[in-house]
Amino acid sequence: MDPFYSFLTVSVWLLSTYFIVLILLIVLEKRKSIVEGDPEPKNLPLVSLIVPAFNEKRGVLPALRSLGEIDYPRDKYEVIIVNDGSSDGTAEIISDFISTQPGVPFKFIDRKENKGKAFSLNEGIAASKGDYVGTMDADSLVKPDILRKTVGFFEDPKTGAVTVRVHVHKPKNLLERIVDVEYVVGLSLSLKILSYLNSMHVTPGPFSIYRKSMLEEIGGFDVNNIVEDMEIAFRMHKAGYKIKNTLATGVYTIVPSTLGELYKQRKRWYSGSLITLMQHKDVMFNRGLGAFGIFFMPINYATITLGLALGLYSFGMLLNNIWRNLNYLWLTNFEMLPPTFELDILNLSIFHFIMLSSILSISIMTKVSLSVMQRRLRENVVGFLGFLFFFVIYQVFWASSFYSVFLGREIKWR
Amino acid sequence: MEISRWIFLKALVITVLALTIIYSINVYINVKREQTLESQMMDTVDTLEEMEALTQLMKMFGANATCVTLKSQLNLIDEKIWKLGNKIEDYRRLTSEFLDDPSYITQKKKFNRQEVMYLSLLRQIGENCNMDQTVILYFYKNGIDCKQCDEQSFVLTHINERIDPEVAIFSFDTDLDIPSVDVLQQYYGVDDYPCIVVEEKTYCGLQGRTEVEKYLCEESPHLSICGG
Repeated sequence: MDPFYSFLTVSVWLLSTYFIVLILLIVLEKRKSIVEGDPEPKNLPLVSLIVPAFNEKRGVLPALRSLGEIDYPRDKYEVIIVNDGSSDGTAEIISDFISTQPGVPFKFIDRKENKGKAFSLNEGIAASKGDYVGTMDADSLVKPDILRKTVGFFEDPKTGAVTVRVHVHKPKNLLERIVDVEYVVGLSLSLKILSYLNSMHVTPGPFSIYRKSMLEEIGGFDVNNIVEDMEIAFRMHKAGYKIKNTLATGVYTIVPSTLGELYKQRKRWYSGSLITLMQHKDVMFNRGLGAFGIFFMPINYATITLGLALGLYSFGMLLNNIWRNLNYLWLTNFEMLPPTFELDILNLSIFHFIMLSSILSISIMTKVSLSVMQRRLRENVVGFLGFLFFFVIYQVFWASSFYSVFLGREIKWR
Repeated sequence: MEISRWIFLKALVITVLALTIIYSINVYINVKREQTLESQMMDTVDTLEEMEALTQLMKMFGANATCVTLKSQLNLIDEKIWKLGNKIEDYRRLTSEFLDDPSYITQKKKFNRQEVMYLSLLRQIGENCNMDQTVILYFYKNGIDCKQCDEQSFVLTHINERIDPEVAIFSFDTDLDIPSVDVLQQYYGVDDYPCIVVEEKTYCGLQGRTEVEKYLCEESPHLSICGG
C-alpha cells in the first residue's frame, strides 16, 4: 500500500467528481434558462469594439467583415482596430478594407511599434466613445447578434463584463476536433456555470464586453501580464464587479492545428494563470470575494496541483515498472514467453473503479455540454473520445508551465 | 449568486455517495477474493488429504496398488498449488493497493503449510513409487527486506512456465514465522535471501535464468531444457 498514491488518487477524484456533479446539478436547476434566459436590453447603448492586430493578415479580413455585419444600429457602435506594429502587411489590408466600407463606423490606429495586446487594448479604450467596450481577437468572427444579446446584462450596475460562447471555427483535423469539444465543455458550459456562481476567472480574448467606467476605475488591462484577459477578471472581482456569460450568442475562433502550436498556447495560458495567481494570491480563501475566493479558486488550483502531482507520480511509477520489467527480461536472457491471460473480474482493484468512474463522469459532463450547446454526439464522436483521454497531454502542459514559472523562465506571449 | 446554496451540499452528498459505492464494490470484491481463495484452498486440502490417505494405503498394500493413482494426484496438486500461490499473491497485491488486509497473511500461512505437506508427500511418493520429480525450494522475504526477491520470483515463474510439469517449485515466505518453514531453512542452511534449493543444493543470492538452468541440468540432465 502506498499512502501517498492513495491520498493523491482519492483527493483528485473527490475534487473533480464534486465539481462535475455540481455542474450537472446546476445545469439541471437552470435547464430552462441556461441558453435563452438572458436579460433583454431596454435600450441600445453606444458600444466600442476594439480589435488589436499583430501580424494577422490571414484572419483579419473575415474578422472585420463579421464586425461590419453586426445587427446593431450603425450609429450605436464603432470598431477601433489597433495595429500593434505588424510587419506582414496587416496594416495595409486593414486600410484597404476600411476604405471600401464607407457606411461602417471603423477607426484605425496604425501604430508601427509592437507593444503587446494589453497595451493595444488600452490604447483602443482611450480612443473609444462607447459606454461599453468589446474586445475581440483579430482572427475571430462574431455572430451578428453579439451586441444585442450581451448589452442587456449591463442593466445591473454591478455587471462589469459579459462573455459569450466560444466556438471553434471550422475544426478539421483530430486536434482541432478535440479542442472543439474542450471549448464546448470548458469555454462554454463551464463558464456559464461559473457565472451563476459569480466565479468566472477569465473574460476570454476572442470576445468579451466590458463596462467602460469599470475599466477606467480598475486601470484597464495589465500590460505586463501574458494572460491579460484572466488578470483583469481577478481585479474585477476585487473591485466588486460581476462577470456574466451568455450562451445565446458567440464568437468563432481559430484554434491550434498542431500539437506544437497547442503547447505554445497552453504554456502561455497555464503559466499566465500561475503568475496571475501569485500576483493576486490574496483572492485565495478570500471571504469577501464570495464563491470565487472561498470555493472556486481553492478547488480549481487544488485539483490542478494535486492532479499534476498524481500525473507525475504515476509517470514515475510507470518508468519504474518499465525499468523493473527490463531487468526481469535481462535476468531471463530476454526470452519472451507467450502471455497468459485469465479473465477474472476479481482482478479489478479500487483504482480501476476510480478510473472508470472518472471517465464516466467526464463522459456524462461532455455529453451534457454537447446537448446544452445543441451539438449531436454522433457528429462529434472523434473529438468526444479524444477529449476523454487528452488530460494526459494537458498534464504535460501543466508540468511544463509549473516548471517554467517556478524556475523563473521567460514565457512569451507569442 | 443565482443558484441555491443547497446545491453545494447536494453535490457533496452525491460525491460522497459515489465514493461510498465504489468503496463498497471494492469491499465486496475483496470478500469474493477471500471466498475464492478459501474455496481453492479447501480444494487443495482435499487433494492433499486424498494423497495422504493413498500414502497410508501404500504402506498397507504396497506401492503397486497406489502409485498410479498417486502420480495422477501429484500432477493435479502441482497445478493447483502453483495457481493458488499466484492467486494469493495477485489478490494480496490488488487489495493492498488501497488497504492492508490481514486475511491474506492467514491465507499465505495456510498455503505455506500446504506446500510443506505437499513436499513431504512428494518425497515419500518419490521413494516408494520410483519417481524422479525435480524440486526447487525458494525462500524469500518481503520486497522491503529483500530487494531481489521479486526478481528471483520472476525468474522462477519464467522457468516454471517453460518446463512445467517437469519441475515442482515450492516458494516459502520466511516472514510468516511458520515453524515447518523454519525447519526447512535450518536444514538447508538458508542464511540470505533470495535463496533457492535445487535438488538438495542451496544457492543463496539472486540467480538468473542461466544459473538456475545450469543447476537444474547438473542435477537432472533429463529435463527438456538441458538439450540432451
